Amino acid sequence: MSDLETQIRNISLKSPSEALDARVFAVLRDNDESIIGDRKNEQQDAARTSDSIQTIQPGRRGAAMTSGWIVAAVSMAIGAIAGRSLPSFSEIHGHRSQHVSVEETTALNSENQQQQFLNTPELEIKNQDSRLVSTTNGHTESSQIAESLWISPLAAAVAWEQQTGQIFNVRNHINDRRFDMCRDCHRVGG
Amino acid sequence: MRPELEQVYRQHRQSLFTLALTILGCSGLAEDAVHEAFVRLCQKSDRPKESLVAYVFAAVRNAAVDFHRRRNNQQALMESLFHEKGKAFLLDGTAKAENHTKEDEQENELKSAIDQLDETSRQIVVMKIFSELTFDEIGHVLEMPPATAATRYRRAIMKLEEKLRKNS
Repeated sequence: MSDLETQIRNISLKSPSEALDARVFAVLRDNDESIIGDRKNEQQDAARTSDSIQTIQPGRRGAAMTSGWIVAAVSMAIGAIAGRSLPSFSEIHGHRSQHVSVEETTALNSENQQQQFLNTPELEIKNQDSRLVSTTNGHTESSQIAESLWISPLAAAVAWEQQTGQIFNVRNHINDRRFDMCRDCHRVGG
Repeated sequence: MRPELEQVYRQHRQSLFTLALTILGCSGLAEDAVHEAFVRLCQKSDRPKESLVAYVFAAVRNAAVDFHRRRNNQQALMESLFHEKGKAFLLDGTAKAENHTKEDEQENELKSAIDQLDETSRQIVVMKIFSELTFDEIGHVLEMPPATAATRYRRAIMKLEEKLRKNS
């Protein structure tokens, strides 16, 4: 050991208080076994609590799953009932294809039959649509009538025939999401 | 293991406290850290594979580091590791104080030089000089290779010598 090391060794360090000795000996000796025991018990309690939380969690998850299934089933039942009460897409289309066949369109050409057709309850209901009323009353362009998605294609055909005096040919009719008009009108850009 | 722990505490209580003090820089906190370390040691039932002394020192150091972290890594309070001897001598009388002035000055210089060392170097110096731990044990406590601990110790001693030379 060098001189400097000896010199350092001779310096008096700050010593801990007697209170620290008492505290450490209290921990080390058996008298304070209870303190350590208490700490261990606390840890065990904490572990038990976390275990119980873990056991509760699957139960909660199960309840959530059950309630989710119930909600899903109820919503499906409501959807099914509501769906049955509404007319299906195929029915609407079938109705249209039934009524607006080539034969019928030729038959519709006569004014009396047109009037009869307009007086049918279905069309009366359709006439309640403000757009239909406004178009049938005011507008002259049949393409605008046909373009409207809110107007029944059947009513539009009838209105078009009334205004133009021509026969509505279904085969020439374009009906997709964007257009609902005759091919000629479509080619012209009407 | 408790009687052995008690024996280690009796032998190294000063160094254990000083080691905690180098990290925390506050006597009160250092005492708390030492106490906490022994509480943790008592809770462990398994015997350490390495030297028990190194194990206890490592426990105290870890407890002190935890305390330091709990204070949100605040700047360590710079409480000196040593007693302020000079002031006590002045109370004894002027003549006596004059006789001891030069020695006290030298000692105070050495103390301040040690206090100015970096934290790890101070810890190594305390463990090596005051507790006579081997570099293997110091390396275990500080989680570094023994060779690194030895190198850092040598550098610290050289630094101290240089400072004392400059001051003289």
